[in-house]
Amino acid sequence: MTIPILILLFPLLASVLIRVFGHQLQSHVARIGVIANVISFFLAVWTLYYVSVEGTVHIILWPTNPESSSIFKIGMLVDRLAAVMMVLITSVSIVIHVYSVRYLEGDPGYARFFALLGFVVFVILSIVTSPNLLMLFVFWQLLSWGLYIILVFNFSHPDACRNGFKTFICHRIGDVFFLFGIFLAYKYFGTLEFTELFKAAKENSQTISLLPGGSFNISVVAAIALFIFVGGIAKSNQFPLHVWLPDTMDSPTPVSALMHAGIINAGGFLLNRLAPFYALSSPTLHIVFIIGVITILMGASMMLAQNDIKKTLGYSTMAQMGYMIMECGLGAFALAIFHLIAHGLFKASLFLGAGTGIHSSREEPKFPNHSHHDDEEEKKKSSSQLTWVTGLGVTLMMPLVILMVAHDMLDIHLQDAHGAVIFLFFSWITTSQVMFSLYRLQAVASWKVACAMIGALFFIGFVYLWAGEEFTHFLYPGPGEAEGYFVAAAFNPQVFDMIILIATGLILFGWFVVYTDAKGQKIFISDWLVSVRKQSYILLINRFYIDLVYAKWSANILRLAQKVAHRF
Amino acid sequence: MDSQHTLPTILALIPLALGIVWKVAQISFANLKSIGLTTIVVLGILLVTTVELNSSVSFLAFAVLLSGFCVMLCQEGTEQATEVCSSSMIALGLALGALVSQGILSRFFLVGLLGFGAFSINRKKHRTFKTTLILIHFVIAVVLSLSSALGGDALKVYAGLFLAATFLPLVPFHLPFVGMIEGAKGTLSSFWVVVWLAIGLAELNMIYSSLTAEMLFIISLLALVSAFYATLAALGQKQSNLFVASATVANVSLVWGLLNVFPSFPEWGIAFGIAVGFVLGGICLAFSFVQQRYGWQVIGKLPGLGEPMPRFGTAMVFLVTFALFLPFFPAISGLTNMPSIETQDVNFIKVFFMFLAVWLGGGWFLLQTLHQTAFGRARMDVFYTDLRTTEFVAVAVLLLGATYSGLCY
Repeated sequence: MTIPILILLFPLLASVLIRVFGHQLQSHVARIGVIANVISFFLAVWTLYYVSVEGTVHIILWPTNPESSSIFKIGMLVDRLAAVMMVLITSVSIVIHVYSVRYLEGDPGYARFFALLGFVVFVILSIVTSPNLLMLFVFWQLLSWGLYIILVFNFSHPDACRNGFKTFICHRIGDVFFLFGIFLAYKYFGTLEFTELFKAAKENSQTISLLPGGSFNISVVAAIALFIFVGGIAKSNQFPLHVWLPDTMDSPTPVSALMHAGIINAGGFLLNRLAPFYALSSPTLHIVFIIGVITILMGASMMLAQNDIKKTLGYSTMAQMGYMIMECGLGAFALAIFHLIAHGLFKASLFLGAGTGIHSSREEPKFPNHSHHDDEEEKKKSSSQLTWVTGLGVTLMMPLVILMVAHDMLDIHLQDAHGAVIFLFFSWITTSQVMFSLYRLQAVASWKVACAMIGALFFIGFVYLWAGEEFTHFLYPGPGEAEGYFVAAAFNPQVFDMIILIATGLILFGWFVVYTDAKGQKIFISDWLVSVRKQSYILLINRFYIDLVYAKWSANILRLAQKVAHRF
Repeated sequence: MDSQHTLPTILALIPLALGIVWKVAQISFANLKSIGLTTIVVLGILLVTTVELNSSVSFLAFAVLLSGFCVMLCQEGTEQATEVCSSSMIALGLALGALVSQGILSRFFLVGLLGFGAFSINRKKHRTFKTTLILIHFVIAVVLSLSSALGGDALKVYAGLFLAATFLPLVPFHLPFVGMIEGAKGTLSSFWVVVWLAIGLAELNMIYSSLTAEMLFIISLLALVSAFYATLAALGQKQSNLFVASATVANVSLVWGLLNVFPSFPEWGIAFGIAVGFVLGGICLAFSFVQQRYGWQVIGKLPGLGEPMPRFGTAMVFLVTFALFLPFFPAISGLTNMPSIETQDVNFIKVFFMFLAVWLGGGWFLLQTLHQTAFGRARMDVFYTDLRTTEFVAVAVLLLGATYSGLCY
C-alpha cells in the first residue's frame, strides 16, 4: 500500500515543477497545481476507504532496515485520523488553488505563489501522516517557515513583513517548548515512535525534577504533554500566544483561507495524535481545557469590537480554535476533529467570499440604507412578543427535547456518552447565541419563520448529534477507547454542574434583559454601566492590551540588546 | 620522519608561500586568481589521495579549503582583491598546517595563525582598550599553544581548553574572534569565520575526552551565559561584520552547552560547528558584496534589496532559512547518541534555556536582518547591480557545504 506516499508527492512535485519551470509554464502553472491536488484528493478518499476497511497503514521509508535503532525514521502512519485529515486538507486545497487562479492573475509572483501553496500543502500532509514525534516536529518547523514565507509573499509590503515576522516568532516560542518535550520524551521513554511511546508512557510513572534538589517534581508524562502542548498553543493561536492570527490579514485571501482552514488546525491535530498520551495525565487535560476557555472568551469578545470583515473572521477563528482545544481538554478528541473539519470548511468559504462582500460594499457606498423611518420600524419589531417567546422557547426547550429524543430514538445512553453531553452543552450555548443574534437582527417576524427556524435547528442538532457520535466511534474504534479519554478528562462533577448553572443563569438573565428592554423598562442604565460598556469596548478594541505588553517587552529587550551590542 | 608526517606540512606550506609571494610580488590578478583556485583544488585532491588523516581532521581541512575557494572565486580585479587573495592564502596555509600537521609543527602553524591575526588587528589606526585586551589574549594563546606541546597532560588540557574557547568563541574568550571578523577586509571576514571555527573544533576534539564532569558543568554554565549574551548582542548589532560575529558566538555556544548532555562530540559537534561556519560565513560573504557595491556597513540603511537584486534576495532567504534551522542539527544528531535515562534533569533545564536563547533569539535576529536587507521597500536614490554569477555561485557552494555538513556528514 504505497498510495499514501503519492498523496504527499503530487503537491510537492507540482510545487517543484512550478518553481523551476514557472516562467516557461506561465498559464499552465495553476492548472498543474489544481491537477496535482485533485489527484491527491481522490487518492486521499480512496485511502480513507482503505484504512476504514483494512486498518492502519504503516510505511517506513528510511532507514530501509525496519529493525534499525535510528532515532530519525522517515515514514507514514496512515490511520483513520490521518486519512480524514488528508481528505480535508486536499479538498480545501483544491478550492484554494482554483480561487487563486483569478485572484492572483497578473501578479508578478504568480508562479511563486502556487509553488509555495503546493509546498505548504505537502508540509501539512506530512504532519498529519508522521509516524513519530521527531518527523512531526521537523515538518512542524517547516510549516512555521512555509507559513512565514507565504505570509510575506508580498515582501516589499512593510505590514505583511511585520506580521509575518510576528507570526514566526510566536510559532518559534512554541517550537522551543515542543523540542524540549521531545528531548524529555526520548530521555524517559527511549523512543519517539507514537505507538511505542504510548506503550512506554503507560508503563512508566516516573517523576521529573525541574529544579535542582528535587524541589519541583512533576509527572514525566504531564511535563512532556505540557511542553508539547505549548507547540500546539502557538500553532492554533491559543492564549497567550494568540496575538499573531488577527494581524495576518495583509496576506492574499487564499492564504487566509488556507491558514484558517488548515494550518491553524495543527494544534488540535497534535492533541488528537497524542490523545492516548494526554489521556494518561488528567491535570494536563484540565490545563488544556482552561487555555481553551480563556481563548474562546478572548476571541469571541474581541470579535465584537471589530469593524473589518476579515479581522472579525480572524477573531472568530480564534474562538473556534479555543472550542477545539477545549473539547480536547474535555476528552472529546474526536469531536474536536469533527469541529475542526466543519470549521475548516465553513471558514474557508467565508474567507473566500469575504472579498466579494468587501467589493460589494465598495460598489454601494450608501448601503445599508438607513433612515429615521427604519428606526421606528425597528422599535416596533423589537418589541414583538413573538421574537422573545421563540428565542426563550428554543434556548430552554431545545436541549431538553434533544436529550429525550436522542435517548429514545437514537439509542444513545447518556450516562455512557460523555461526548453527547458535551456536544449538547455546546449546541445549547451556541443556539442561545444564535437566537440572541437573530433577535437583534429582527429575523423572527412571523410564526412561519419561527417554526421553520426551530425545525431547522432541531434537524441540525439531531444530525450533528448523530454524526458526532458516529464520528467518535469511527475515529477511535477500539472498545472503550473514546470513553477512556472522557473519563481521563472528567472534572469533578460539581465543577461541570457549576458551569451549566452559570451558563443557564447567564442565558436566562439575557432573555430577562431583552424582555424588559422590549417593554421599555430598561434596567441597569445607570451611568457607571454606560461607563463600563465604554471601557469594555476600549479594552476589547485594544485586545486586552496584551499586544501592547508584548510590544513593550520587545522594545525593552531591543534596548538592552543595543547596550550589550555596544560592549560586545 | 616518514612522508605521512612531512607531506601534510609541505602541503600546508604551499599556499602559505604563495600568499607571501603575492604580498610582495606584482602579479596580474587574473593569473593570481587562477593559480589560487587551482592550488586549492590540487590541495584538496592531494589531501584525499596521499595523506591519511583522521576523518574529523580531514573534514575540517576540507571545510577550510572550500571556504578559501569560495572567497577566491568571488574576487574581481581590484586592489583590495589582490590583498584579500594573498591574505586568504596565508591564512589558508597556516590553518591547514595547524589542522593536518602533527606535534610541535602543528603548534608552530597555530602560533603563526595567531601572530597573523594579532598583526592584522595591530594595524588598526585607533588603538583602544579592547584592542589591547585582544592583543594580550593573543599573547597568552601563543604561550599556551607552545607550552601545550611541551608541557604535561594537565597543562595540555587547560591550554587546549583556552585555545578551543578562543577559536570556538565562548564568552568571555570571544574578543579575538570578534576583533578578527570586525577588522577583516571585504570578503576575508567570511573566510575567517570558517577558519576560526575549524581550528576551535579541532582543539576541542583533541581535549574533549579529558574534560572532567566538573569542567563540563562549568563550561555549560559559561555556554548558557554566552548564548544569552551573544544573542542579545546580535539582536542589537548594526554593523554587518559584528552581527555575523555575534550570531556565530551565539550558535557556537550550543556546541559548548550540549557537551555534557550529548556524548560523542565528534559525531555531532564538528558537523554542526562547520555548518554554522559555512552559513554565517555565507551571510558574511553576501553582506560584503553589498558593502563593496554601496559602501554599506550598517544593517538597515539599505533595505528592500530583494526586488532590485533578486540573486542577493534569493541567497539571503536561503542562508537565513538554513541559519534558522541550525540548532536543529545538534539536537537530532545529539539525541541519536544520548544515553536516555542517565542524563540529569538539571542539565536538561540548561539545555532548554540554551535553545530558548539560540533558537528563539536566532529566529528574531536573523529574520530582523532579512527584513532590514532583502525585504521591505527599496530606496529609489541608489543604482543597484545584482550579484555576479561567480558571487552567487560562491554563496551557493557555501550553502551546499553547510547542507552536507549539517544533514549528511
